[in-house]
Amino acid sequence: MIVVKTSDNETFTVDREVVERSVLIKNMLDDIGENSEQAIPLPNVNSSVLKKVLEYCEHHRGEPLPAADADTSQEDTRKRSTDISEWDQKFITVDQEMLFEIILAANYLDIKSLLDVGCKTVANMIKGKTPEEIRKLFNIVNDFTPEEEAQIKKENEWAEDR
Amino acid sequence: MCWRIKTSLLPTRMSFIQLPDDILINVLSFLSPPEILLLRKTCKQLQALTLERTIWSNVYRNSGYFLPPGPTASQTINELERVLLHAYRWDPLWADLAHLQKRNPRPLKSDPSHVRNLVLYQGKYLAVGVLDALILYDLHTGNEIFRHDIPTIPVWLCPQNHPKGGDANCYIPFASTLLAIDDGPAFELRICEIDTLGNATIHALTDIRLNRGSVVGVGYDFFVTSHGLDNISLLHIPSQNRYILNAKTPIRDLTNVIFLPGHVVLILTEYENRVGKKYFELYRLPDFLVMKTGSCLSPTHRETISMHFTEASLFSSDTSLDGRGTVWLVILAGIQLWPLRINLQPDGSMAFYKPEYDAYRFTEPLAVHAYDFHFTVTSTTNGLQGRGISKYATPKLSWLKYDVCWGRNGNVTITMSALENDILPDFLMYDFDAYRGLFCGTSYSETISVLDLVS
Repeated sequence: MIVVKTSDNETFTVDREVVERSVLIKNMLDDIGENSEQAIPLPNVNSSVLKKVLEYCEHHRGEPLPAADADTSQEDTRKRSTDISEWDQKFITVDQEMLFEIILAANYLDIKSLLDVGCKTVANMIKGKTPEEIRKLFNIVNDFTPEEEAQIKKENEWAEDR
Repeated sequence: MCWRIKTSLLPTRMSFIQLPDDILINVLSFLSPPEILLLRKTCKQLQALTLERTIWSNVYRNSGYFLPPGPTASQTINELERVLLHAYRWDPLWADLAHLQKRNPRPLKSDPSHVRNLVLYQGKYLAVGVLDALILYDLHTGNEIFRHDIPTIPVWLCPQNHPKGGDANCYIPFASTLLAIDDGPAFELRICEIDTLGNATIHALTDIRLNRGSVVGVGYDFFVTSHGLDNISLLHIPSQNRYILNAKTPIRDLTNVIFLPGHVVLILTEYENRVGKKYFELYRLPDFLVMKTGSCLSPTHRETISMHFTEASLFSSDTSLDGRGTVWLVILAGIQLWPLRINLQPDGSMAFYKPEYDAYRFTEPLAVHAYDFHFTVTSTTNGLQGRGISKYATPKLSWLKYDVCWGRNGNVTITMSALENDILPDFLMYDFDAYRGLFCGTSYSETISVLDLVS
């Protein structure tokens, strides 16, 4: 069992197999060796986010990890589709802030599959929306002047549906 | 600096545009080109992000669209965007050409008559060979941007397997008639070279004699032609160095030439008892600085396949490198396509993957023959894909569409369908850009139509 410690000083005791879905932690464990009693500090992840991340790792335990030098053909199939499995979809149905926190944590902990689930979810939120709807969705302030807006519109005219 | 420390101490509400760029780029990799372009209109930060080259190169590599080899260094971000958006619209149209709308042809600012040769290049240029000139048009403006007058009636040589995607220059070889000498007219070879910016150069290559109907190949600065039964010449165009290819196949007919980076494959036919045997001979392209003009080159590898005479008689192919040193070939026999895969080995040999020929053999005796075959192959995330069109003449002139997919698992699927609608005009001579949905041709009236099937 491995002990990890979050930014808000909570500790979690987890199976090595589960926590090793994080390439970051796996590498750390490989470096410090089996017998260390020390808790692994994760200063960039808080306890509520880590709980979610561990839930994901627990569900996907034992599945093959993508190779470090992933073959390009694997990479290709990964990129092509924004399909998300049913369990993952349910898992990632959280509020926006938690979604972004999970993405950041997955990025930091180097859990590629979770990072992709998060990014696909965000991409699916954007799909089919107008720029105004996207601004509303993500609380983005329109910082273009009317002149700049007209300029962008002009530059992108070729791309509009004809 | 001050506010950074302050915000990091306060509990912040994480928002989309606060995500680091590499994560935002990952999100964008799951969006289609028009969706990325919409993000550009939301705010300055996302606008700047969508102008990153990485984003568009990623889409180019991973989209699975049918695209020319790339992204190349010479393509600007704006060009990448255009190509991708075009492919995004064109791909579903190609999948179901029945939904194609009639389009107004793009106008050319002059109207050449007696058209004998048409070459589309880069989706931007159209080279037209006529009775007394070679004219290059910019398709965007319709303007004539280059003209080379030819006082004597030229013979337009139409090379197959001409690599002109990506950064490759386009070469248009033609023979200009010189004075008639004792044993018939003599021709002088000229090659018009067009670069990706539309600059054209004419190379006059005096040392080569051609016959009408000489099979030629051109690519990567080299030119191949056969004259007579025992002479196959390889010419390095810029230096005019000439090499002799010592083919091993005894009684032969040069059928096809395939240029690859660093290599050339000759396809030679030998007929015996109504069976056409195809010999594939691989040659390394010489270094013109080292190898003296007049040197003889021998093939580094030779391979053969047998085809039935009638099937072998209509032999056409196209190739593509899929980035792993693999050549993919497709052969049109009758109206049926036959795939073939060649792997170039580091030691200069070829590994042949011949599929079960019978699996692709006709189930019924052929009533029709296709001709004017145009075929293009590209490497996509789904494997290797090919698109082709050809005309067939029974009972009336019509168009056939071919789709070939070589999956990563090695499986090949080939579909062929006749186009029922009359969207594609009844062209006598045509060129087709399968990457961009550009179609140009001439009919009996001899005016050129350029159709952009997408927009």
